[in-house]
Amino acid sequence: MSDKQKSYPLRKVFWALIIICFMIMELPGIFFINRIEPMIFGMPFIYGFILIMWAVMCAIMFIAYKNNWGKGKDFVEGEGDE
Amino acid sequence: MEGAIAITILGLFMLIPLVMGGIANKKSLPTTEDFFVQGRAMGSLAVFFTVAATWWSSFAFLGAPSYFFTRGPVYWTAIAWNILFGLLYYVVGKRIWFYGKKFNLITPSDFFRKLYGSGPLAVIVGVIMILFTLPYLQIQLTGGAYLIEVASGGLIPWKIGGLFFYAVIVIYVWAGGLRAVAWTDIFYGVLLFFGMIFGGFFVAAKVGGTAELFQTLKMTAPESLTLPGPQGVHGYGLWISMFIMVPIGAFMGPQLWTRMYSVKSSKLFNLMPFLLGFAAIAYVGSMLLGNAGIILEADGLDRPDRILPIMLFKYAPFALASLVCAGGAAAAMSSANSQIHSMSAVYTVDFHQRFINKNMSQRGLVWVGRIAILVFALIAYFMSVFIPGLLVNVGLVALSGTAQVFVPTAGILFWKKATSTGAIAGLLTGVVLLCIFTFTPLSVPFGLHSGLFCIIINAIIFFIVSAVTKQRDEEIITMQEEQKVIYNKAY
Repeated sequence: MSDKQKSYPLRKVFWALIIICFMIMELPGIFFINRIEPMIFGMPFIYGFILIMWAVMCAIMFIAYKNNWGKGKDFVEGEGDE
Repeated sequence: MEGAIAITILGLFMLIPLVMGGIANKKSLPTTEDFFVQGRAMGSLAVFFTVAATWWSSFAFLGAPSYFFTRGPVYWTAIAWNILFGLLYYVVGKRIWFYGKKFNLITPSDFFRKLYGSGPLAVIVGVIMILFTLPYLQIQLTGGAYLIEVASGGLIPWKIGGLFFYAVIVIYVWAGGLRAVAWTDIFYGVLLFFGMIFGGFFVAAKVGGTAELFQTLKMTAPESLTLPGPQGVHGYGLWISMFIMVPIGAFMGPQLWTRMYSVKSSKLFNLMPFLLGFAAIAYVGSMLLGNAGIILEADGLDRPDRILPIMLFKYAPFALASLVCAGGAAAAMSSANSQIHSMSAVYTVDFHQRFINKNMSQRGLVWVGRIAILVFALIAYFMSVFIPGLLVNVGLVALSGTAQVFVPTAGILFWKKATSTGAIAGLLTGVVLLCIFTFTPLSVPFGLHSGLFCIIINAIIFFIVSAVTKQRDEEIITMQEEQKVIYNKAY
């Protein structure tokens, strides 16, 4: 199998999670989170819930970074491009 | 006493970037590559701060509280668009960086000339970049100059403040090129981040804290807490349109292209989604301040863009208010310096070097770039004096214009059959439609923003025309396929 065709299952997981989070925050999620109650952190639901999603997405993106976006911790960035 | 404090704060605020510009000048080389993309050797810390500070502007610092104050929660979609912006930097930006490094690209047009093999397309992209970056530059000046006026306690009128503002920028960009811009952006970025957060929490405390603020609003103005906001028109369509439009438009601005080409290490691109996403927390400050304004300024304001300085000067100690407003001016300056610098690069490399003087020396081109900096600064100054407008609205039109370039950019990176004819047809359709929707009473269906609608039409035209027109030269396609293999393996 050539490098180009290499499959990275973890990469797909990261992107699936990111897309799901965006769907929750934007479309169709916004139709369901556009409300005041229940209040979260003293804020209306729309504000508090988006903050929770922000924290979740930051965590996903940090873990993705630590795993070279699914290519694994052993992947050496730039190797093969000299 | 207050006047002395204000002048001291503003004096330091102007002086520090000038010193940085002087030091940057000592490190610079007389080449276009060094002046415009810092010799492709910008370190991670500088890249993050210069991207974040360039990305945040008057649009965020003054525009965001104003939107929460007058239009409900629609601007809260900014949390998601900040994350999308970071992801674009990783997915698309890293590829642009790769091609930039391989082929010594300096401007956005260089990229299109190389991958599409089309001169006319490169010229069209250059013209779009300059035309639509100017209004965005104008709102930086409008916001920044106004903040200088209020931060000085009215001692410096905004028209004079605007001249000061641009004089400082022109001097240090002239002296130090991108290196000076990046260094000053670190200073501005820190000031801006803490200014936004501090302003919000301080003013929210004046109405009893976050929970008390929203309990009061729930009783007195519940329409301000959900879409479509108190005016009834800022709803789902705008929420989704802004989420897509704003990051794509800003990402395609020439100032961000420069920040993709200039990066030293590709690893930085992997971290940017997290860093830029994390920085979105600063919007909490804007959100609290705008909502507190609904209670504290219940009679409304003639210029809602001014809610932030008005509230701070009313409710915070003068020195602190002045400092935070200097942070706002920082937002404006950090975007303006980058925009002026990148427009100068587009003019110098894409137009002057190509069409006016092909044989000009590197040193001569750097001088042309410097004079272009001065000219663009003056144009933006006169625009801000004679063409006022609500910051976010002017900004959205400008971002909508540059966002059109995203279609042929993503198209060529991910679709082998993209053609220059398809790209030109899509771009021209998108831009012409955008002008029609901006300057006529026609409106877009479903409450979408016209910019997003134009991108969708642009993309449809791009795909249809590319599918039926002659493919790019075989040589270019082969070269790109080879580079893709290297990229997929190494990055």
